[in-house]
Amino acid sequence: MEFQYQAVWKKITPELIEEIIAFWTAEGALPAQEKPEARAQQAVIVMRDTEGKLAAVCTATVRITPRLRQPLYYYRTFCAKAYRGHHTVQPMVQEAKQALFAYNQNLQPPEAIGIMLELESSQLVSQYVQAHHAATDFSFVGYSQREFPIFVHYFAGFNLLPPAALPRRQATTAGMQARRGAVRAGNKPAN
Amino acid sequence: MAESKAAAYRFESVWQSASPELQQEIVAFWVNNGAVSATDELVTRAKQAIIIMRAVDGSIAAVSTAVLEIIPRLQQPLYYYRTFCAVAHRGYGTSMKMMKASQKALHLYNLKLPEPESIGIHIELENELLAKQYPTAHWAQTGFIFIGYSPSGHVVRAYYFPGFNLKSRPTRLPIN
Repeated sequence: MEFQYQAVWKKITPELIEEIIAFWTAEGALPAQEKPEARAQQAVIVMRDTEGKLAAVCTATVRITPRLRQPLYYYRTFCAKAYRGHHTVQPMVQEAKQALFAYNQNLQPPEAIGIMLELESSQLVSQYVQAHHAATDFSFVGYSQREFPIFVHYFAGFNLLPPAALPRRQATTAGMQARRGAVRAGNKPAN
Repeated sequence: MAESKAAAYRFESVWQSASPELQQEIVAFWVNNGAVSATDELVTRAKQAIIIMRAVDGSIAAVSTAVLEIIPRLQQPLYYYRTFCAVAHRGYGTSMKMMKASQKALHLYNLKLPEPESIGIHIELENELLAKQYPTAHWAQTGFIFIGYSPSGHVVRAYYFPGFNLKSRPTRLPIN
């Protein structure tokens, strides 16, 4: 099945917002706590079927996690049930990477240095088992508090920004980690 | 200039094959270059040698080592990579060559195991000069990516062997 991928990042019209919200609502994709308009404003790519109807939407919002202390886009995607199984996950990710990279290339400083995603779907977890996914250039950086694997892609050539300050509770946890150290096989080496 | 100098060094893979004589040579190199403080762990550390970098006269100029770790941050087994280069041999652009040779040696070793003992390598950039010299989140030359900061505030990076799968988590560890 042929799909058309349309970059809409920062180019969202009121009509498109309406269309996206109608799509999510019809598919039962909006959790109760989500504000539909705000979420629709975060759309990066819309995937359309041959008739021009929305088949999937991916969104991104900047987050700074205590784990990385760097600004990254938190990537989420939703595909209508009728269009699943057509191997659109990777094309969607590739298009989103390109759109977000291009947007940040013109910003100084960039608002994000890459993209982060959490593999919530058990089907995707069993499908994407490698620590580094070569086709999309996403790499494993740990597990979320919800126990899902987190993968990150950094925009090519982008520098790390000064680390964001840790919230007080996280700073305490980091201190405990320092005392605890890593689980090491064998003796602790010199140096 | 630095590139042509770097080409003069020989990189020798000794992972899991360092003889007692080589271990002694490595220990002597570290001691002579003031690279270590406690002598009782030196032989253990020498057994962790991956690559020996030798100068044109055959003497050791640098040594890289690896030890298997499961860090709370990833809950996956990775080698903790460290390297020491003698002061006289610094500034010749050998650090990336050393790292690449080490990546290759560790990757090949794990490819031959029935079950890999590690899925990659991680490093902590303690040297602020190096951290400033290589500031990108993704190191295109070696494939290392930024995975966060160590408790002491240094940049931590990881590299995964191509095609290696995540392992089921060995133990429940707090998220760092």
